[in-house]
Amino acid sequence: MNVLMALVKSDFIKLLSLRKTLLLFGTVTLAFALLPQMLIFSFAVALYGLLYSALAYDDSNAAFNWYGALPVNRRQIFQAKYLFALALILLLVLVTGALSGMSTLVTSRYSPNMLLASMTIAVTGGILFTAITLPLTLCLGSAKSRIYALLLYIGCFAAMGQADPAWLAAIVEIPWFGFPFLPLLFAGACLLLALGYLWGVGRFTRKEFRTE
Amino acid sequence: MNVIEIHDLKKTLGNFHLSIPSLAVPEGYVTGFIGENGAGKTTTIKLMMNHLFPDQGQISLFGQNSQQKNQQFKEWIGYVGDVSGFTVQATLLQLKEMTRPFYSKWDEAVFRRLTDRFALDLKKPLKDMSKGQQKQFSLAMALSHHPRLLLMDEPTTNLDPLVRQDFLDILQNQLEQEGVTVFFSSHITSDLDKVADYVLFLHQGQIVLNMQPKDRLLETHRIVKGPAALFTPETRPYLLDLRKTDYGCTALTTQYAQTYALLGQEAVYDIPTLEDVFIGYARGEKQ
Repeated sequence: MNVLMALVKSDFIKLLSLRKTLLLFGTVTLAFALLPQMLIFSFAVALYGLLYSALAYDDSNAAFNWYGALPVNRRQIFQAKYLFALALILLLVLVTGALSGMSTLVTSRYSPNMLLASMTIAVTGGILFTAITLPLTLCLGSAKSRIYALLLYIGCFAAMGQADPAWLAAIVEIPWFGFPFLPLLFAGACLLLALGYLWGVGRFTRKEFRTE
Repeated sequence: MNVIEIHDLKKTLGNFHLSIPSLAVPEGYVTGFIGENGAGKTTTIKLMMNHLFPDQGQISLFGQNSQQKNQQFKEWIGYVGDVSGFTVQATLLQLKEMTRPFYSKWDEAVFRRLTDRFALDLKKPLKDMSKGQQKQFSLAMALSHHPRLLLMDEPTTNLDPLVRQDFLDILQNQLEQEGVTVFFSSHITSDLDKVADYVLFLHQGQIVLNMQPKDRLLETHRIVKGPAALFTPETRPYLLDLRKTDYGCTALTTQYAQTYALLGQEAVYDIPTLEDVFIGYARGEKQ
């Protein structure tokens, strides 16, 4: 098996082993995904719970001692975490989308267009979350990264408050599934993901795996 | 061939300074790496495993720089660290499934044999295992891919005597069958008394005794005891760690013949344990 695939597989096995976490977030996801208007919420809860749990349990188990014993280098570990996050986003959006889709078919209270848009928003949000959470957590640890992530979010909200209304109005004009912000937001999320990767990969390669 | 080679290694962590000018671990032997808690044993092993990076110097494993980009040489290493890093919520079977794909020589039969021998329930999560069982599992995992080098950091700490003995028995069986090189850090010197071929002593980040055959070390050293008046200034060059006791003086000598010539039969000469020798070197500048 390819080393990256083996690393991604190990993260999924790790998730399966977190039974209580899986049960909690699984139940919330299943319950809310049946309401199409709650698709984004259920996706966000599941992604936060599962991705952050996997990273936090790595920290609490000092998992880098295990990674450090394997015949893999740090770059491969870092890349595999990104692949795992993207696979998780894909899996969750398909699960929540399928559940919401079935519900839409039965109730006909939600248009397929809206459903598709919700799934795109969910994926975009997932990529944004990953773009910020993953490099910070891998490079700084889950405890320290929370502070930096919080500062980033505050900064983003402050910047949005200062944005030129004309500039915002121009963005609104771009249509995509009837939701004008989406293409720019999606592109921005992907760009941020790439930048986060570039910022983190060098740091992670130089990171020492200390137990304390 | 030397499996591990260290040249001019220096590492600072806070107020702690590790310095190993040179070290060469030969293939096919058990090397006991002895030092008190905080001496730098874990730091040295973590540097070998590339978990930490040296400030200066070089470490080679199997002739390859341990810091090189390609870490494929770790396929030849079985590592039992002070902390395993395993997901404690996972079952032993899940942990095996997480680890197995990385090793081309993974041997399921060896894994089953060892876990059966240790009577480990593979369906149980690691967190439900005792510390001893967790170490046994770590050893089983480390040996199941036929390593050429077994790097172990305090593997027998916190184990009860029965489990410790079983652990050492398995280790010795494996060594006899496969000729693995073992580098084994411990402050429990009695374990190394049983299994080590070579020993080296680390004290406060410095090597105080470098790679000596254990048996020869014990043959050439003696614990000398006798009345205080016997230990005149002329005897001091041959003694380490001269201490006064309620009954006179005791010291470790590195030169038994010369010491005997000076002190004669008035002194008592005991064969030391590794612990005695380590304490002698750690405490004593030659007096």
